[in-house]
Amino acid sequence: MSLNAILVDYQYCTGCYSCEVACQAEHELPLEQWGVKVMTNGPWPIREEDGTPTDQYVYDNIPAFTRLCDLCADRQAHGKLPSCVFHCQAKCLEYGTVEELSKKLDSKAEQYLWVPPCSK
Amino acid sequence: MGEFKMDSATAAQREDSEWGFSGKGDPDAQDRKEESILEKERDDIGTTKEENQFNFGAGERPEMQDWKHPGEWQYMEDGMLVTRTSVWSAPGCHEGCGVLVYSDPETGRFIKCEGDPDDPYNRGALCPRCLAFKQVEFHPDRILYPMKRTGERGENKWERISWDEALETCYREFRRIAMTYGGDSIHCLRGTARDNQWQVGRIANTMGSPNEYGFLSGTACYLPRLSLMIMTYGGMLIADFSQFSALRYDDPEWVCPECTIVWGCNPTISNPDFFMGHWVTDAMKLGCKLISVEPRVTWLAAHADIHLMLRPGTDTALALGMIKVIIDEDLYDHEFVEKWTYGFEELAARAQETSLDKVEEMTWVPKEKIVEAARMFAKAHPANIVWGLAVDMQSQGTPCAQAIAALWTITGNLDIPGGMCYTAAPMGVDQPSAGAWGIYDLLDEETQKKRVGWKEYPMYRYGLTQAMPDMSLEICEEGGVKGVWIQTSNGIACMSCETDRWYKAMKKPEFIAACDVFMTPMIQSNADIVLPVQTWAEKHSVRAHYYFLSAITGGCKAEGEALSDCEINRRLAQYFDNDDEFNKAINRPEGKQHTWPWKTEDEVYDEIVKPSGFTFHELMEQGPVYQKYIYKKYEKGLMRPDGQPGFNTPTGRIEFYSTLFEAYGYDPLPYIEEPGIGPVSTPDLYEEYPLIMITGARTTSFFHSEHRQIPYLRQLTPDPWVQINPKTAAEHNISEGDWVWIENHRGRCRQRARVTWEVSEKEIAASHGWWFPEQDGAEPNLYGFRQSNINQLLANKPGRTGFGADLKCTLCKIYRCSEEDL
Repeated sequence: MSLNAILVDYQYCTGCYSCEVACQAEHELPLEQWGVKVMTNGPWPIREEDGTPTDQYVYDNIPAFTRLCDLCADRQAHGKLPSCVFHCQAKCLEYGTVEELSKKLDSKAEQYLWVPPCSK
Repeated sequence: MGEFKMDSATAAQREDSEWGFSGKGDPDAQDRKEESILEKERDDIGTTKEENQFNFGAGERPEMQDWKHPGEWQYMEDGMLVTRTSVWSAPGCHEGCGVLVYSDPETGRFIKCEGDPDDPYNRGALCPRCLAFKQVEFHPDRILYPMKRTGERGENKWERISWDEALETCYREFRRIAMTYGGDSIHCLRGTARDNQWQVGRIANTMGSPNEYGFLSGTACYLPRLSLMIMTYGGMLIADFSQFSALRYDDPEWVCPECTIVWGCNPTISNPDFFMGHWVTDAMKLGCKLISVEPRVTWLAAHADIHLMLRPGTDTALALGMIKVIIDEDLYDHEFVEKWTYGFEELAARAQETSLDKVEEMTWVPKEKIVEAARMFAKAHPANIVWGLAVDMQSQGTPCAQAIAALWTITGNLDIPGGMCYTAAPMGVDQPSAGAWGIYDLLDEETQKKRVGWKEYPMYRYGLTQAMPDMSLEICEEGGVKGVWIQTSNGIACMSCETDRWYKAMKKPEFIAACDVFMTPMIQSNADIVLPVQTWAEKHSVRAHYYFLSAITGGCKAEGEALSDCEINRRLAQYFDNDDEFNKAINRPEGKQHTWPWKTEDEVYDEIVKPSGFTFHELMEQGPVYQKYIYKKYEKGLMRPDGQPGFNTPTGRIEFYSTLFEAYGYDPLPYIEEPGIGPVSTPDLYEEYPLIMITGARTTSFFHSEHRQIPYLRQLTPDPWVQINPKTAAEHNISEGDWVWIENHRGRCRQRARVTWEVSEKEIAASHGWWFPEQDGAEPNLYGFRQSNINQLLANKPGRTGFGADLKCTLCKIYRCSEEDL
């Protein structure tokens, strides 16, 4: 049986923090405890070989899931999606099995697949 | 419900427009202008509701879109009662997302909320402010009972009183003030537009006053754009990302824009102006190209196809530069321009007065990029523009809006799928969005014209018909404001520039009452009576703005004795409505004495939603209602009160050259002017204060000054940050997280350094709306509202039209706080 996972299309993660608070509220986590935390890389300018900054910037947001993530087991028992996936404003998170999501992983760049410890 | 059809008889019965002529989209329109507008006296123009059209279709029941929310309005799930609602305030934002409120069926108390996946507006998504809402609902600091001040103002001494005592006190004091000094000496203040906006205006009218407004200099929040659109386009326009249809992206009539310009706006964070920011990323996924006009490297700017990183406050020059390219290269839509617009030749001539070299010099944007962006936008079809507060927050607000609007118009993107579309009065319900529900009929003409700024700034007759804040401040300082009603505004911590002026001025009125969810610096420093407001989850209300009509349905029991904003107003109004002597004294128009003639708040909502054919309770059960949106309304006679083709403007055409501006004595065309303060206009100041300061950008954690006491949200943004470029920070020996002073000739405040490439080395970006609910609320501290308050560096100085103010383009210097400062 395939493990359950979350597919992250980080090309469109805008860094709105909905996933973070959705998770905290769902699990009533204390402050500064996260099932998922958005890590921000940038913005910083891509430089020419001689060090001159260009007008092109790297600015990526990466939702980083932690071992506190249980893929919202309680919600799933009621047929609901994990709260972060459900409430994501950019709709850049998708829940499913590794088997089906890995096919989608092959469809475009700037994605990654998260398989949480609870999935095993 | 029965079927709804456009009532053609109504259209036929409509009287000719107030103007006494019909412009329409025909070639003789120019001549007609001559015999109309210019013959009228300045004070006779813009005095009627018909001239101030916000949304098309107000008061008429249109055809409903063939769609119904698939869910029930209320149901049980897992032992919890679930109620479907729409969120606006309090606390709130500009949206109206569909939300499901879960409550305990026994106690009625709130349990949790979730996004409504079947609501077309947000399709299940929510931002952190709703997701953290439980901490609002049960917050220990919530105001739960009416209270009166027992010590001096600012001592933080309050005593619980009954609703009767609270409202009777308000009535007695406001009555005395109106009878002694005149109704117009009562000023009613509010924050930004939410579902309660109209109430503040209407209660002012009830009390005999035409004066309702927010504290913001130049009303530099949407009003420069709004008044421009009403006066020269005959209605409000917004970028079409399919939100007019419940079918959204699946609607076969909708077309995804090929290009969008996000101009002076960070929509994915700010969710501005009833526009959900992530519709832009949705469109990007569908292939829409993105041009960003933005001094900062926001996430959207970094992901744009073209980023025009302009100097703050120079947007008009950039827009005129792009217009010049589009006309020079013959990329404009000849047919649309010839058939439906007025003053194109004059606009073209104005654009020719500048050169791209001059535009580059002024805006700091390389001219090659300006050309590239102009071509990309003009060649895309459809294309649209998502514009934001940066347009308003410059003294150039009006001409800037005028120039940007011309861009989408000359390229033929008006009222077409995926273009710029007219906002609707959804299902005919023009939610007293105008905030002007009453101003035209509850007060006699003489009192209407006592509205502050009515004569001096005639553009204030368009849009929200509110009082002019900068003039009101002066009147308040002179002691002319005697009574104040504040509804959900934390003015001295958020909206008011030269904070100390407003702070001192607001000590002068004889009586001040405020309604809110939490205590604020504003209430502590000034109020005599405070009234508890229900949260959005508790209250009933109506959401009718731009796209859909929806009930806001209370999904849980109110905590304490809180009442909805509307019910507070309705109850207060009863005292005045039943006071014949008072109504005689304020010269209430015949038959209008009962300003709130409704027995319950639900009856108020029945009245509001009446044009839709639904009662309020039917609407609750129905869910959000969309009308069948009609594009190219100007071809079909749906824009003008006389039912003729064309636009509701003096010439019947879209006016690049504004005949109203001309009649009022303003430049009829967009013109370029330096910001009031900056490297070019004030070189001496620039030498002392060498950084351009941007401020006012929102975060997802807070809506303006709200939410600072909510733990899940405060953890996201624990401190007021100021963005500083790494090079600038190094020059000033500032490291990440240092507290720094931001200072100019007006004042200073301290914020924490966030060292980031998000701002250029010539600029900093400071936070707004900060106060510290965890600190002492009494004078002189008042929750520390001065400590990080960036408005102390900003001036109350409006643009020429009375709209716009240089709030996002001023000057400052920065330096590290010393140990003893902290």
